[in-house]
Amino acid sequence: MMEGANATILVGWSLSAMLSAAALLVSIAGDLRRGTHLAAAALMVAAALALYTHDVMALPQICAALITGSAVGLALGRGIPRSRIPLLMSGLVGLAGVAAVLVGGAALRDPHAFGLLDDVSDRLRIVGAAGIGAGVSCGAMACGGATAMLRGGRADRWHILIIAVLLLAAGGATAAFIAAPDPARLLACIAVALVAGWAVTKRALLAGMGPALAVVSGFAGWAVAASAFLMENMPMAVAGGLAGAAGSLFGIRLCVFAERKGLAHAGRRP
Amino acid sequence: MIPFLLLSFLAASIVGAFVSLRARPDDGWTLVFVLQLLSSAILVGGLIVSAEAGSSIARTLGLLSIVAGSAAFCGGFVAARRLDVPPGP
Repeated sequence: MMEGANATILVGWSLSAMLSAAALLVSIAGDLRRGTHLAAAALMVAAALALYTHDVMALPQICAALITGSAVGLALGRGIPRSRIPLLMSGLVGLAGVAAVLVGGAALRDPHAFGLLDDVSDRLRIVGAAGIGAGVSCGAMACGGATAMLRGGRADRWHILIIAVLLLAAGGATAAFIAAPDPARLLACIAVALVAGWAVTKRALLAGMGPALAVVSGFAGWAVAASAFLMENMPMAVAGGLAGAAGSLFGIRLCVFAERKGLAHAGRRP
Repeated sequence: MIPFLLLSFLAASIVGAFVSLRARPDDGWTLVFVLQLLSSAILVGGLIVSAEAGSSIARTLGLLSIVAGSAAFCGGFVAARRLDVPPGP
C-alpha cells in the first residue's frame, strides 16, 4: 500500500491526522464547537480518501448505508431530551464498538480481500490475526461499557482484583485467537471482553458519568487503532491512538481524583 | 507500511496522553464529545471493508458497520451542537 501511495494520498492522510490532533488540542481549552468541527473535518477527509484509494464495487449500497446511518444518528441526536445527552453519547460510543466488531468479523470472513493471508501457508498472517483480535476485543469492551451505562448507570464497587482477572482473561482470549484464528475463539473473545468492559465501566461509574464515558471512548479508540493496522489506514491509526490514549488516561485520572477526593471527605467526617 | 502506521500511532498516543494530562476535570465533557467523534473513525474501516470485500457476508457486515459508524458520527455531532447552544427560555 505504501509503495502505491501517491502524493495526494499522503497529503490527505497528513491533513486528516493534523485535523484530528488539532480537534483534541482545542478541546483542552473547552472550545466544543471548534473541536467538533475539526474532528468532523478530519473524518470527512479520511472517508473521502478511503473511497478514492479503493476500488469501490458497491457504491450504491455504501451510499444507502451512509444515508440510513446518518438519518438514525440525526433522529437520535435531535430527538433525545437534553438532560439525557450523556446517556446518548454512551450509546453512540457503543455503536462505534459494534462497528469495530463487525469490521473484525468481515475481515475474518474474507481475509483474502484485505491481503491478510500468508502467500506460502495460506493462513492468516500474525498482523492480521492480531488486528482482528485486538479490534474485536476492544470494540466488545466498548459495547459492554456502553451497556453498563445505559442499563441504569448505577455504580458497583467491583473489586479491583476481579477487574484485573477479567482484563487478563480478555487478553488471554485474544492471544488464543491470535495463535489459532477461528470464529469460535473470536466469539469467546467477544464474550469475555463484554464482561470485562461491563466490570471496568461499573467501577468507573463510581467517579461519575464523565469518567466512565471517557473510559468507554478509550476502548472504542483502541478498537479503531487496531482496525487501522488491519486496513492499513493512517488516519484511523491516528484518530484511534488519540482517542484511545486520551480517553483511557483521562478516565483513569478522573477516577483516581474522585477516589482521593472521596477519601479526603471521609477523613473530614467525625 | 506497518512501521509507518506504528510510528503514526505512537505519535498520536503521545499527543493523546499529553492532552489527557493537561485537560482540566471541569472541561471533561468537551474532551469526551471530541473523543466520541474521533472514535467514530471506525466508519472509514467500514467503508474500506464494503469497498474491498468479495463475499456477500463480509460486505453485509461492512455495510452494517457503516450504518453503525455513521449513526455514531452524526448523532455525536448533532448532540454536541445541541449542548453547545444554551437552552431557550
